[in-house]
Formats: sequence, structure tokens, C-alpha cells
Amino acid sequence: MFVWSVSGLGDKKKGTIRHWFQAGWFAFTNGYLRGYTSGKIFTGNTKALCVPGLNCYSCPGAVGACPIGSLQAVLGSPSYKISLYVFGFLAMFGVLFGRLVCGWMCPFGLFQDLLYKIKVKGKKKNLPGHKYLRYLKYIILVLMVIILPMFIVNSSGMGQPWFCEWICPSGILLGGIPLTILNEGLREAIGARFIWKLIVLILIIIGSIWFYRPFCKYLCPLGAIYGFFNPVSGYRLVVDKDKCIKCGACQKACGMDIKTWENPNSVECIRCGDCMRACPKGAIESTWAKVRAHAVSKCFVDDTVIEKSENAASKKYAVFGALCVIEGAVAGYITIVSGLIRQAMLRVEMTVYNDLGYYAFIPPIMNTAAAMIILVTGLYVLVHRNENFDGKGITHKLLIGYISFLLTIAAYLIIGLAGGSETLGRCIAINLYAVMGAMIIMIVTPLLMAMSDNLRVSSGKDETKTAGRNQGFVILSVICVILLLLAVFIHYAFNS
Amino acid sequence: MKESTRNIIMVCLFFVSLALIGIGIYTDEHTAVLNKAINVCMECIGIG
Ligand code: SF4
Ligand code: SF4
Ligand code: SF4
Repeated sequence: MFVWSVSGLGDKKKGTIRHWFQAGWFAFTNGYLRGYTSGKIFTGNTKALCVPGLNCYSCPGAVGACPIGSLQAVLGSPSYKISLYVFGFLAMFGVLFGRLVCGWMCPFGLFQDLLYKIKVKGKKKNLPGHKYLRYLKYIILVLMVIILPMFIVNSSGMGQPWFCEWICPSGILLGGIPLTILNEGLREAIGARFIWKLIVLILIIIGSIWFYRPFCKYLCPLGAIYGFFNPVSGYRLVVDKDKCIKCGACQKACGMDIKTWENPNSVECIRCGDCMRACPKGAIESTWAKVRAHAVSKCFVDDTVIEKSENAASKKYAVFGALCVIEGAVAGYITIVSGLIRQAMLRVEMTVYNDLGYYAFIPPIMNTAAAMIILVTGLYVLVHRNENFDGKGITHKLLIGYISFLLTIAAYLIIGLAGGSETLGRCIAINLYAVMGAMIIMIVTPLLMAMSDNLRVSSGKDETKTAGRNQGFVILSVICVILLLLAVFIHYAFNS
Repeated sequence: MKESTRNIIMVCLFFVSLALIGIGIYTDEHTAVLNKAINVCMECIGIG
């Protein structure tokens, strides 16, 4: 059976993947490169959106807003006094991820993780008094993030962001230090508070070398909020009581010092996954891994299952066919109705037609063809779902659809080469919806090809070869997603 | 708590969070966040 995703990777490698993800996430949410050279912060509209982690919006590269800073700003503003918008973001991130945000998506978490890797003698997990100190973050949340900004106001009714002012090390690390280095005006304004915040940061840095994530454990109000969601968030840990031998290996591996087997959804758990890797019995699993395993078993045909039940195979054909139909229909609808027809109606006003004439219609037409091939393939599989046929033919049909998509891209490239980047830009601008349709085909079709490779009843194929090809298709899809993110990144990195 | 109960709470809370964001946009709170975020926050960086 097809092995999906990272489940086959070694334990150490999975741990490293987390750090790469943290770094990638940091780069993605702090990717306004011009900020790092000009000493000015990003001013685009994406800053109305909160990022999940403790990521200061005064970081020169930040493209989103820090939720804790935003919360204090709205609570302290005379016009609001309560912030449904920011609470909404906090609840959304909390309910989807819980403290997975801390383990994977927070720059200050990554910073402390790296500091803890420094080899020194006398390392410990917790500070003395850990049992009581961990409640400090709730006091900070209630007092410095909510009550003081709300109620201590000046004559115009404005409150101050107390947590940012006196504690937040992310502000001085990501905002204060780089901005004062780059911006002379700010450098001249340095005073006592800057020194105070620097001392707090230095103490946290020193603490993080000897103790695991002291700021997250004892001080961070954002971690405190996400912790409340851990027991009900989408990502949770589940311990199989039948497998668990209560050996305590999970707690030993856990930097947050949690008895995972007793309390897998502790408010302190940052979802780093170290316990899962340490458990000798494989007793700890995440809800996401369970969902993934369930989806894989629903979508991919397992020869051994089919031998037992033809019905199981036809169900999988139905799921596969439906997914193809949905992809083809959505991509086709966007391309035809919002792209092609709209473009045809607007064409008289568009200067791009002076340069290109009807050639501008070639990319959306090619993309429509790709969508239609995928749609028809899906319908074919749906109609024939009860018959036994080889999935290989289906893979080939999808491949033809994908080639048609590649021709769409080729057409854009030719337009760019022949007409220059400006003509290409205008062509993409009027074809924007068709481009979105193409993106759907680009990402989803390789996944469907991976699935279709397993749609077969007769065995006798080389299993490893099929699995390898499937992995290849999935990797292609992942590469497409990365390329897209990269394109978005490059777009805002150079344009404010 | 049963896993299914947790899932039900999760789905309910998710819709509540979307509703909160929606109301926030309706009351223009996102503009307040944007205005705060596009100007250097002196308190954050320890100046002022
Ligand atoms: S506890 Fe706070 S600083 Fe630590 S990782 Fe979570 S959000 Fe970031
Ligand atoms: S490491 Fe695994 S077997 Fe040991 S106590 Fe933890 S969950 Fe149970
Ligand atoms: S319980 Fe597991 S996932 Fe949670 S912090 Fe500890 S090691 Fe990481």
C-alpha cells in the first residue's frame, strides 16, 4: 500500500523538519525584504490580519499583525474597549491548532529552541518553583494584556499596551534591535525603557540556554490563551491505553515536562511531537495522523482489502471519481465563467488585445481543456465504478489533462517572451481567474494521479515501483504549493 | 471527555470564531488593527 507523507522518515529527521518548518514560517511571515535594508516597516493591507505566533508587527519584515499587540491596541482604544476581531483570530487559531502554533509557528519559540541547543553544563528542563511559576503567564494575560490596557487610560481614553511596553521580548528582538540599527532617528530616541526591555531579553536568552523555553512556560500570554484550546483543538494527541506501558519515556523526552500518558492534551503541551517519537510502543498518535490514515484508507486501494471485498474497491472508485469531478468542475467554472467569458466581454477595452489579438485566449482555452479532461475522467470512473479496470489508463487520462495545463503555462511563457513582461502582466491580470483555475489543476491533479495509480483490482504489479511513482506525484504537488507560496512571497517581499 | 465531544466543541468554536471575526470586520476593528500594525509601535520596540 502507498506510504503517505513523512510517516516513513526517521525520528531525528522528523524533529529537524519541525525546525525547518519554523524557519520557513518565520521567513514567510517576515518576508518584506526591503524593510531589512530601509529600516521601515511593511505597510500593506495584509497587516490587518493577525499571524498566529508572537511576531512583533514592528519587525521590519513582518507582513501580518501580532495578535497580543493587536488585542492590547483595540482594548486600549477609546472607540472599542472589547475586541471581537482579535478574539476571533485567537479562537480560530486556537481551535484549529491549539499550541501547535507554539511548537511550529512562533518565531520566539524557534528562538528559544535554538538557544536550548547550545551545549552547556547543568541544563535543566524547568526553573526552580516551576509548579507555581507556570501560573504567572495567566496573571500576565489578565493583568497586562487585558485589564491595565482597558482601564488605565489617559485623558483621551487611550490605554497603553502594558505587555508590549514592559515585558514582550519579541518586540525588542524582532522590532527594537533591527529598527534602531537601521534607523538613525529611532537610535537617537533610545532611553531607559529600551534598556529595561534589553535586560528582560538578555535574562530570557540566558534562561533559555539552561532551561527549556522559560518564556513560553512562565510568561507568554499567547501560549496561555492557546493552551486553553489544547483539549478541544483540531490537533490533539491521543494515547492508546492498551499499548501504553506507563514507562514514562514520553515525559523524559518532553521539554515541557508533561506526563503525556496521563494528560496528552495538557495546556502546557506545545505539540512538538518529541513524545510520539520517544514512545517505545508507538502509543501516542495525533488526531491529524488519524484523519490522514483514515483518508488514505478511503482513497487508496489496498490489494489485500480488495481481495476480500469488491464493494470496498467500488467505494474508492466513487471517492476518486467524485474528487476528479469536483476538481474539473471548480477549475472549469472559474476558468470559463470568471475567466474566458469575462475576458471576451471586456476585450474591446483591453489594450492587451492590441498587442496579442485573439492569442490572448489560448491560455484559458488550454486550461479549460485540462479541466474538462479531468471532469470527464471523473465521470467515467463514477459510471464504471462497479467494474474492474486498471487504474493505469486513468492515470494516463489525467496526465493528458496535466499536459494541457502545462501548455497553458507554455502559452503564457510565449506571450511573455514575444510581448515582453508588461504584456504578460496585463494578460495575466485580465486572465486572473483563469490563472486561479490553472493553480487548482496544478496542485490537485498530481494528487489525483497518485490516487489513480492505486485504482486497480488485479495485483501482480511491482508494489515498490507504484509506491515510488505515487510518492513522486505527491512530491510534485507539494513542489507546486511551495512554488506558489514562493511567488506570493516574492510578490510582497519587493512590493509594499 | 470523549473524542467525539471534543470534535463537536471544536466545530462549534470554529464557527463562533468566524462569526467573531465577521462582526469585527463589520464594526471596522480590522482598520484599528491595520493602523496599529503599519506604524512603528514605540512601546513594542522600547522607545517612548
Ligand atoms: S508560548 Fe508564546 S512565545 Fe512561546 S511559542 Fe507560544 S506564542 Fe510563542
Ligand atoms: S512512552 Fe509510550 S508507553 Fe511509555 S508511558 Fe509514554 S505513552 Fe506510555
Ligand atoms: S507532550 Fe509531547 S508534543 Fe507535547 S510538548 Fe511534550 S513532547 Fe512535545
